[in-house]
Amino acid sequence: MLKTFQKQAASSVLRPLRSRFASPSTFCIADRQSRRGYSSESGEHDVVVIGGGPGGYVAAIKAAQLGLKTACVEKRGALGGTCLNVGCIPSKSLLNNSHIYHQIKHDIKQRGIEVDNVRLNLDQMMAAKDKSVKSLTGGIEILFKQNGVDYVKGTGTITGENEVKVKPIDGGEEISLKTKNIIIATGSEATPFPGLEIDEKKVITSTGAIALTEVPKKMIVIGGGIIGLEMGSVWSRLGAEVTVVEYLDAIGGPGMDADIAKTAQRILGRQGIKFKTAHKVLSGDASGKGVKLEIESVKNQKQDTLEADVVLVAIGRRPYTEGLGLENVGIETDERGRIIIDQEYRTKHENIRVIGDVTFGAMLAHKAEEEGIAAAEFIKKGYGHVNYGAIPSVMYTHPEAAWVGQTEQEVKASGKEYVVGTFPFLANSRAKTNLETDGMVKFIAEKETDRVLGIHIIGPNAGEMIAEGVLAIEYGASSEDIARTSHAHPTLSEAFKEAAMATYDKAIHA
Amino acid sequence: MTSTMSSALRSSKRILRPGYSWRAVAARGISSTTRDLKAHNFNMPALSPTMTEGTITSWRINEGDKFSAGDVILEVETDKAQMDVEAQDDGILAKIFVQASKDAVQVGTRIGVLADIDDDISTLEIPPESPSIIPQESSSPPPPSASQSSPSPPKQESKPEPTSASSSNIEHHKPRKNPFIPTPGLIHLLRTNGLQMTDVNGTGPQGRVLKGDVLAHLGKIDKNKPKSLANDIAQRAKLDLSNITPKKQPPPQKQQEKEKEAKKEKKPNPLEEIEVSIPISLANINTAQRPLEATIAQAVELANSTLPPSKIPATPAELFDEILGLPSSRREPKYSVKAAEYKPPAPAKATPVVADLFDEIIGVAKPKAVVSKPAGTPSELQEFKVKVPAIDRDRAEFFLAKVKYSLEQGERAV
Repeated sequence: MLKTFQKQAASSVLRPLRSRFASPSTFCIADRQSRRGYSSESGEHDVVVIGGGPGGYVAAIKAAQLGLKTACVEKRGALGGTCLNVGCIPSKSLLNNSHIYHQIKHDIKQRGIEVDNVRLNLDQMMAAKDKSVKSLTGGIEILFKQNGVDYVKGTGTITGENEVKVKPIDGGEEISLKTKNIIIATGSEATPFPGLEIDEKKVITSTGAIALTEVPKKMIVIGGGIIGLEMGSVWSRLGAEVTVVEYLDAIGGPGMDADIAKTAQRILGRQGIKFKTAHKVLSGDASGKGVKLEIESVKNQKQDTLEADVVLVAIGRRPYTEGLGLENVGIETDERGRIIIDQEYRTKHENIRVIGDVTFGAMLAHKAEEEGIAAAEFIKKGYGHVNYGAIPSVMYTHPEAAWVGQTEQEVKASGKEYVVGTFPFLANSRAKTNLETDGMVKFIAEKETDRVLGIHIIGPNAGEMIAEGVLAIEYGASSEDIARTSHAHPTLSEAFKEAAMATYDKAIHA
Repeated sequence: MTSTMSSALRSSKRILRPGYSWRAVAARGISSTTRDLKAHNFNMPALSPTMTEGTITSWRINEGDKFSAGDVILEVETDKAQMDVEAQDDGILAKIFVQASKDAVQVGTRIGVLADIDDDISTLEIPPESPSIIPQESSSPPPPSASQSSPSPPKQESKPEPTSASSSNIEHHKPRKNPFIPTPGLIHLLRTNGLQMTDVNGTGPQGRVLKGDVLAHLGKIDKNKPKSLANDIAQRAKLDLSNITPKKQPPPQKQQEKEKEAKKEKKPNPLEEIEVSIPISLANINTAQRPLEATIAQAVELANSTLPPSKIPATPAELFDEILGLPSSRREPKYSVKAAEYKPPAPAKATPVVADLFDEIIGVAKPKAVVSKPAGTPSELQEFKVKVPAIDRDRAEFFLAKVKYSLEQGERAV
């Protein structure tokens, strides 16, 4: 998520607004003047970004780099939003380290390495995670300073088309920010499950799933999407007996190609995760020591009771607009709570734009980031661009799953004629030497023109490999273009090339 | 010879090959290594694919100085940036023809002469300027006249390397309509069919020539295919805001009461089937570009993909559905039809909706949604009908409005 910190001449120094306004006892004439100056003409901002997540902080930095006087309002107390604090980043730390633990325990013997006395120190694993998170969120603060973004710690409420009032998180007097433009980037929150109260201990969301203090004996994951499968993997590797209950017939959520979803379920099943697909949760009871769930088969209405120490609710996320004051300026949301915008991210007020999870499109950090840059450019230059047809998705289980473009099911539904080419990692030399041969690469190309419509990978390092696929789609490549591009031997990426060959012609090694 | 050296040699060949367009070589290095010449001309390099001229801000070494690989020979300023030009291997700067100044020098103009590291520059023969490299535009500043004594360019006589057919094909074609370098898949296709990039119109991003464009040009596939595919992909590149249902504001009390009454009236049989219909003009659909059935199928698909939730009374399943936060098309009743039913002129056919998981779960009668289209030419105003439970009237109307929009406006938008 976080980019390398570029050394750049600071165009202005971060102003610690909080300290300036927090304590009335420190007020002196100079302070008052500076505060008054803040809301006067010279103190007016060009852009106030509400929300300091991947969408918001990137928008703020980009706006500042474009020469706009920018402030970013964040109430969490740390920048980076859900992604850096309780989402993508901490979960990747746990996924990586739990994988190493699991590999040492179950896998390395066949590789000729014998280790005795392998023990889990969960506290240390969590500390390693917290360290990564802290350095990254702190890094954004430095970026703000370097780029001259005013960081305002507090809850931002839109009170007028050109005004954002901020209630500082540590109390103190409300701050009024006058601004020419507002970018809303307030993100999303986990959707709660009716009848199960989230306590983040027994009934948890992804936030609690990255902070459990002990490995539960039994864990149920409601929702077989990316978040559920990633967190289910972590605790399964650390020793929990994990059962995933999914309402649909397949795991992976919307957007995952059916072939990839099937393969993922098979591989994860082999790793010990149990799946109850096509099952819905009727009710839950967390009053006892553990949690009881009543589930019912969608197919034959057969009911069952599941018990677990911890239940992870991972049924999706919903836009977060609480306290934002949309009603003050008459900005509408749709029936799912997403703020209504046009193609340039504008609401009914031209100077108020919305990006990321709180509006339409996939709820992905990198999508929000692209939009943040585009929104800032729209403000400054009148033009910004995001190609929504080339945004990758990655599931960081082991093996990883990654894809870009359309799924086979989508292509079929659109009535296009198409060709599918696949290549299994089992036939790839590097995968074989790594003893990690699960998975495949799948290409979907339009039949006549050979133009690549979708690329779907499940296998080792799929998340890194998909970058090539995104580039291919961005440039309108044909599968032959990829097949005729040299890929180093022996690498996993050869499977990518061979799948492309299989699409327009024939693979060599299959 | 080390691998680094050999790679340097290879790239130097590329740079020094006579007649090779500087514009096509985005190399920042120079090399003095040659095959048979003792010394050779050092021309203004193209430091970026778009660079046409540059200003020499300073020579970092003097005439007669030796340099080794990696040394900065001179600094060049372009419209974009100031860049150092590094040597790729060892040599001697035998002569400087263009001194540092504020004047811009055209790419390909001789600015100096490089010799091999072992050469004695006092006895070195300075080669004449190679005419094939001099830019043809008359606007370019005349090259320095010094030492242009020999009328016949030796480089062309010795011809150290045969110019490959592909590079001459592509490089000498002027003016270049299409500035893109052919993709790996295209090189093969162009060569085997005796084509040039400039012969083909591109439908790719920013007008790039794609494989499909060449195939269409050759008549191997439907001529309109690349364009229609490009349109479809362009549509998907946009954020889908085509079908937004604003959250309903709480209506005034009276209206609320009325609605309640209406609901009470409906209550006896909310699942009773009604027919919702809407006239749709198919006049704007270009059947030449894409078959009508595909257009309709796509419109139906599009409409289905963003339908509001069904109003069937809140059951646990629906509640669950809503909180899942997934696209409604995965679980809501779909009004789908087989695209094949729409071959114009097609007889009106009732197509039963595909059984939906959702309906089975909530245990209601399947909403026997049917879209029927009367026979006729595509240009007529036609009645599109959907049969749905009464309670879902709004939803069906919404669906039809969406289909109408796609069919009447969608094509134009593309």
